[in-house]
Amino acid sequence: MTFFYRTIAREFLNYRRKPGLFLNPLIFFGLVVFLFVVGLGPDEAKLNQAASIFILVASLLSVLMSAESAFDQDYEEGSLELVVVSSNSLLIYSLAKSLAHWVVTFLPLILLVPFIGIGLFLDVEQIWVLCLGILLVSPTIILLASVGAAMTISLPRNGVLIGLLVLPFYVPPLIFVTGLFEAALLKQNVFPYVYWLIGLLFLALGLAPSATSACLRIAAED
Amino acid sequence: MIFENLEDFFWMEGLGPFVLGAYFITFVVLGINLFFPMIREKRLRFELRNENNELRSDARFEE
Amino acid sequence: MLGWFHRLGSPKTFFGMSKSWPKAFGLLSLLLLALGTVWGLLFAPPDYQQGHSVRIMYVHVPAAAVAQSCYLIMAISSAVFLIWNIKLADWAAKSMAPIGASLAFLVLITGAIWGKPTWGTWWVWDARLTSTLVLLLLYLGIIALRNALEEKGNDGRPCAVLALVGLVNLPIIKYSVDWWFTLHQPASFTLTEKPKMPPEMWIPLLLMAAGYYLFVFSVWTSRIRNEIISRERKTAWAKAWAGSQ
Repeated sequence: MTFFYRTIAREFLNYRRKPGLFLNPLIFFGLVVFLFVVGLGPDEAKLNQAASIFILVASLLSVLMSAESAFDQDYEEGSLELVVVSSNSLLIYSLAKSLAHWVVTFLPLILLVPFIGIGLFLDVEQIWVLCLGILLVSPTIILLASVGAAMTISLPRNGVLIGLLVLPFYVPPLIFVTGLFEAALLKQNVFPYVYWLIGLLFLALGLAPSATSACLRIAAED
Repeated sequence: MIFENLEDFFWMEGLGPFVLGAYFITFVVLGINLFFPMIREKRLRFELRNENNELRSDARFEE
Repeated sequence: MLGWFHRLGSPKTFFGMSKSWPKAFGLLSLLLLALGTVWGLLFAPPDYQQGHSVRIMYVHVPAAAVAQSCYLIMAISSAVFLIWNIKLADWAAKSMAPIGASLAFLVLITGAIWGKPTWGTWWVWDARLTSTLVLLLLYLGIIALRNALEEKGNDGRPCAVLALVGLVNLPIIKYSVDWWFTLHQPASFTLTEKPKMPPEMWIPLLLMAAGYYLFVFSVWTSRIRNEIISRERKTAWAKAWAGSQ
């Protein structure tokens, strides 16, 4: 268990030393949302309808940016090989990395959402639902992105490649989250979508770390 | 035969271009799939034969 | 039995075994496709609702079935490669990817052409078409990853992992897109697919399906043979093959 905590602590130390690693994706997220607003115009009705989706899609794209370098540094330093060779579990390593990644990517996002929501004329209920949706879908997104990152370690310019690989897998969570938003809008029962998202989360939690660690092992053994 | 004459076949009550276009694209795609491996095989044969000849002529010069 | 499988894993043995496969299966498939096309275009009855545009079904539906089967075969080859480390299985998966991708693309194009006269628009966010689009994206991702890895000279194993992860995802995508479709679009039309088809309609469909499957097998085998030769070019038997004919 201490390996898990130590890996997380190492990640946080890394992020503190290079704040660009998590600030850049955050700024990217803000810019994408801003571009959407600019494109759609200041009309309140139009913004209101699509705002939640914009924020969600922008967050998906910014995750791709930060996933680029998730494993690259460890691979180049050689610490990835050490983890593979040691008795520590690669599964725990990838889980710890994903958790740190999630904390650093989505916690600031969830805190920012109320402010962005005000700018996009969302009312309080919609902001709550948006936060709930992001909370439910973000771990799945992070886990899938880490699989993509593990597959493309040491490849140059792999951000776009990760996007190409991982976007088809984003489709189901995205569908259910937008269902969640629509149900909330129509005052219907949101719980079916919540259960679906939790189900996808557990599926990702079960399968993604195994796929990630398989790819990490392949990369380290080269 | 469903169609009375060739004109009917191409026109198909206004749907001719669609149906025939779809079949045409199908055969183009299948044809591409068929021809690329054939071209690659020819190129591989050519490359390997040249590699062989180069090696043989290299060996001759070594004597 | 197991011995046969084990020998199948050797590239040289497979190459020798499959010498006649591409031509034989190719010719047979072209025959079936020709038969099915002629029947479908000239002899099959028009649909009472859609008229003659239903003829597109004979190229669209088999392509969809085969595009999905190709993915399954690619995933199985990838699994064989990952589990038993048989390089030939990796080459088989690599060879299948472009074929499946082009077929998925064909499904989308013929679907669009079918949609325009039948439902008035080129594209419909139909559950089936959308999940075929996702299938195409999966194929493209695998091809892109393999190209990137081969540029660097790395192993093909991440591609195999991706293929398997995609396989798990396919049913999820199908289900969620199906559901998404019913959410976003009222059922204003029905596909005339599953009513009882008279033999004049399902026989050409069967012929085309068989033709597609045999065609894919022929092209797949041809690609695998090319891959084998390309990678084993330093061996004596490969040089002998190049020297002959």
